[in-house]
Amino acid sequence: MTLWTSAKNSRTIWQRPFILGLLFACLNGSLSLWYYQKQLQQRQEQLHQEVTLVTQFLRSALQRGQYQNARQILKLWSQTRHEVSSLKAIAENGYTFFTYERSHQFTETVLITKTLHYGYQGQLDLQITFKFDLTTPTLIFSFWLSLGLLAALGLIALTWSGTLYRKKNRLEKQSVQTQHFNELQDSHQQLEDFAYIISHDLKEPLRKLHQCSIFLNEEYTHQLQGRGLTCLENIQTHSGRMDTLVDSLLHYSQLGNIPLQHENIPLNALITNIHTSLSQDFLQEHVTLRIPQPLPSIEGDLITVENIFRNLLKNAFQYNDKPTPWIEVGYQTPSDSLIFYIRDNGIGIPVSQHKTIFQIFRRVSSQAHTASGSGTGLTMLKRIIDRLHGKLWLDSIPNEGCTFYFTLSPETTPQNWPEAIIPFPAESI
Amino acid sequence: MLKIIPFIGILLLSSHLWADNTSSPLTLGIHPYLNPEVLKKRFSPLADHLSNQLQRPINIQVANNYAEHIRYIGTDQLDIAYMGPASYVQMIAEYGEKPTLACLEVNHRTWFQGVIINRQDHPANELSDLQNARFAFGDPHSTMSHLVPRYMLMEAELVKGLNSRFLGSHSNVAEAVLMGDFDAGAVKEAVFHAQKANGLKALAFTPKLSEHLFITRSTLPTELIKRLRLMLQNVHQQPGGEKILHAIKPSITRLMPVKSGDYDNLMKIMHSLQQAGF
Repeated sequence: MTLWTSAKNSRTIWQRPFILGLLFACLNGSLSLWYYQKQLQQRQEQLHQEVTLVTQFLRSALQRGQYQNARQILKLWSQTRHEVSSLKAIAENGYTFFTYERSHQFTETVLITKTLHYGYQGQLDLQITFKFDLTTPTLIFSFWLSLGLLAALGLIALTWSGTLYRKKNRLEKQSVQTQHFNELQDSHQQLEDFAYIISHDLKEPLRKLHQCSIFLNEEYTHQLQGRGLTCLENIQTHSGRMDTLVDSLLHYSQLGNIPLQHENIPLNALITNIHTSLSQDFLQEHVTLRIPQPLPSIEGDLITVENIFRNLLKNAFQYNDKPTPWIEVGYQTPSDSLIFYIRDNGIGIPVSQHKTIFQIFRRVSSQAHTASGSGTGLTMLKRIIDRLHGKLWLDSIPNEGCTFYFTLSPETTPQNWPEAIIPFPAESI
Repeated sequence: MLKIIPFIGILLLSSHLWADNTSSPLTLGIHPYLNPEVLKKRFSPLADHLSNQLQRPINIQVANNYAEHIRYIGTDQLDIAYMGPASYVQMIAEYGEKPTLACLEVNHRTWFQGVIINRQDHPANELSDLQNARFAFGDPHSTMSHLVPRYMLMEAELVKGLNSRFLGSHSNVAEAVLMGDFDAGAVKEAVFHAQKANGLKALAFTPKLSEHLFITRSTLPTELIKRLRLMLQNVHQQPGGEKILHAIKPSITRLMPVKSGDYDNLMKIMHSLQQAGF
């Protein structure tokens, strides 16, 4: 146990080969000894069988009075079996019927004695000494065993080194990935910090600028004329817009830091509340809300989900110039997935802007000068959905309407998500 | 007509003499105490020697068994025959006497004998101690490991109650006695001497019996018989003669004259055994 513990704990170069060599020698020695004992046992059994056979022949000859034949049997057998070291056949009266001696260098000695009864009173005692050499076959066995063990050890070493090599590669790869991840996280954090600092620090001079413009407007309007008044109004308008942009930027930078909660959200009620709220905000109570089928309740973070729907509904309210505007909120379940959609009959989005629309501060170009808004809504929306590992995409025909599709988790996102949607019938718009 | 008969007789006799004097092959028959191939190899030098001397080819023939061998020589189907003493006595009893040529001299003895043996630590020291003993014989046809010893046991009145068994050979008998499986047994002298050091002792010796011999058919010309006899008895003096004899048996020293009466004691033994039903 101590040896094993020391082997396990050994870290020096020479200790492991030494311990392995010692184990190898012990294993080889034990197996060779086992082989030797087995060979010895087998040989003894063989010799016993042979002696029994010879005894049967001997008895048969003696019972027929064929003493010379009996002697011939013993002579032939002892001469042909080179392991017979000595053989004595002694009659009951002490007469040595047959004797045979052979000198050789074999080491292992086995003595077999057998009493042979024949006829009515005849008795013959056989004393046979065998000497044989099991060293040579054991050495041959040991040699092949060593080869086998070495081959096995070689295979194990190869496999082990291969495993170590792969493990090392994996660890190195993981290490690089971790390093990249950490760097990315640091970079991301720095970016968020930067955005926060920028937006936060910009607010102060901006507020002063805005206050100054208000002060000018209140106290010195009578001194300004024509172009001066226009410039003052522009200062107030753009500083207000810049304030909105900075607020949006601040909000965007804080999106990833809000922890997500899990609760049951009844979407029907949520959508109705948002619609009511937006109708009041936009003073457009005539915008119809269509829900083709009752919306399900889902598990998720209420604030996040509300943000998503609110952003999309707000867009639908905001970018609609039709006399009878409507918004449709619904869902599809292709391939057991769950895709939500929000449709409207608004101004639509040209195909060329379907991708760029999600970039920050981008707005639909045709309405950029008329519609209010910071141009960060869809960007934040995309970021929120990305954080949930869902998908967001859109389908739109300019001047006819727009449909935003989204999923809220990877589990509810179909494999072929852009094409998985079920087309709406033409008359539904 | 009467004048023609002697003429025909002379013609037949001369034709017979002519036939024996020609180069027609002679047949040497060997009694089958060993494998035929081994016997042919052992007796080939002698056959070649006789063939060279006689300027006639000599073929070696080995019978399938002792009875066949006895029948072949008894019915004059063999020109020369080599036989054991027991076979010779049996042949005389069945077919009458045949001219003898020579007998073996083994280790300078023209006789041999057997031994009734037991272990040195066995309590029996005389033949008479073998009452109801376990007795080992060799081959049933063997002179020294069965016939003569059985005669001796008969003479000693030990046959009744004797627990005997044939073990096939002299060596098996000696081993059986040494191992204690039998109280006593009968072997030839050579086997006894070979195993004596292992713990055997001689309980009794059999009578001396004349050695194995060469005989010839009765119908062979007298001159040829004489020549054969002379040639055999002088083999040891010929160049390579010792080699010829040793090929048959290494302990043979020479071939000696022999007569039918030399086997009378064996004949008496065989007669007694025959009467006893063996």
